[in-house]
Amino acid sequence: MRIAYYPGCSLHASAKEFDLSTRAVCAALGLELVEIEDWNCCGATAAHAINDDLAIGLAGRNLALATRQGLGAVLAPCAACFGRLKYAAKALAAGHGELPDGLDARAAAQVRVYNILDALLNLAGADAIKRCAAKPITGLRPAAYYGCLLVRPPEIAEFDDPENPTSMEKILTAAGAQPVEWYHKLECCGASLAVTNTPSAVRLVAEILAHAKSAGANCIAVACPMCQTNLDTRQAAAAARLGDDFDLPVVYITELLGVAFGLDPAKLGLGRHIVDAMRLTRAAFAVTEAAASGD
Amino acid sequence: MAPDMDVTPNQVMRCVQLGARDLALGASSIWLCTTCTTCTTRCPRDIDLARVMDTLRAMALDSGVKPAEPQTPLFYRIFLGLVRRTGRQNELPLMAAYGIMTRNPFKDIMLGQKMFIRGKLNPLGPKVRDMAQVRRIFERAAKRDKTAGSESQK
Repeated sequence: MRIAYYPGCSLHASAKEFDLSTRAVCAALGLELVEIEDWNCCGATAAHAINDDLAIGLAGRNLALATRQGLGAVLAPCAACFGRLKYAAKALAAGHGELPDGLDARAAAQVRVYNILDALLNLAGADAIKRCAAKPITGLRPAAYYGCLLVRPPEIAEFDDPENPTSMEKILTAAGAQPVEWYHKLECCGASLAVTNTPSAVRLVAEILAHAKSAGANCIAVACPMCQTNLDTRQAAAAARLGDDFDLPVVYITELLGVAFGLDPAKLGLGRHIVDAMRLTRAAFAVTEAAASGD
Repeated sequence: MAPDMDVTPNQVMRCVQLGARDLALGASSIWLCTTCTTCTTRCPRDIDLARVMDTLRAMALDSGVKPAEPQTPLFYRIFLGLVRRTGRQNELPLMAAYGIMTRNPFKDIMLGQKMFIRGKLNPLGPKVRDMAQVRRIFERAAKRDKTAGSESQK
């Protein structure tokens, strides 16, 4: 299947590994990603927080560009971009906002927007993931962290259960991992305040990491560049705050799938994290190897 | 985030109902709201609180009320300024400009260094080719914003 690909600004910089691993995993699963030509920033929090028309215009232009390439579905791996694109489609459909001349707002309103979990589970499927997982990651006990925008607000996201989503766990289980039960999968990490109100963000990060740790997780799986950056880069400050040492790698779900698919961890971007994530490639197969040697 | 707010989100909604305009627009809450939309999802009265917060932020900037957390609208303005110039966002100039404007350029410098070493910062962010379209989006939004502002003052 061919689908338009909207990487968004983060995936070209701080979340490069999300881009690398998404492309690699989708290729393995037979999803052909066609990057939207000349895409622009979705406007993110800054636009919708102060000007609704700007938010609709910026995000909507990308949808219109996708239709120009003959594509009616867009994959937006970044959870925030996903929310903004989906919001723009709905707003344009309801007659709000406008697009510059030469862009088809009516076509843009019809575009189906997928987040990465939706694409993995409903375009590729758990069976395909299982088939591709040549090296099941049985040694990993990820805390599946959804954060806010993959499922909220439900009227926009229209994805999974907004109070108890399970799609990430289904994907991880298909790859052989053993996701933990925990209660902070939907708590906001405060990423939008990480720069302007750092102590507040650190408090939220500390709570999430502490709960993941006490649930027995040995890593955190995410599908949002803001969550990843915040939980990874503010982890040291959060640990200092609680006088604890979390030492929890925070990785994109696509990176974990890539490891399970037997792809090169360095090419997936696992070496790019602040809290070392390369060691997960050893932990992932530790149980398998121990079991194998025990036979 | 409610523990850090001077007026809790439900109280902000009450302010709106009662017409306590200055209290709502001057509250730290509208700038501390992370737009996580948990309140919108759970409100038993179906109020889209996060959306109301968006509107209050826009009204606060129009009204000239001094924002309780001025660094947040400053961050948004720098963010959008970059998008207006290049069509895309780039963390490196964003953080640099914010650091200079808040007179604290070294706040996250160690973090920046670590991110740079790991290839997480892209000094040469690409630019959108059709910048005329991006500028048009900004111009129209500013125009509509002004129109909406004058209507609300009537």
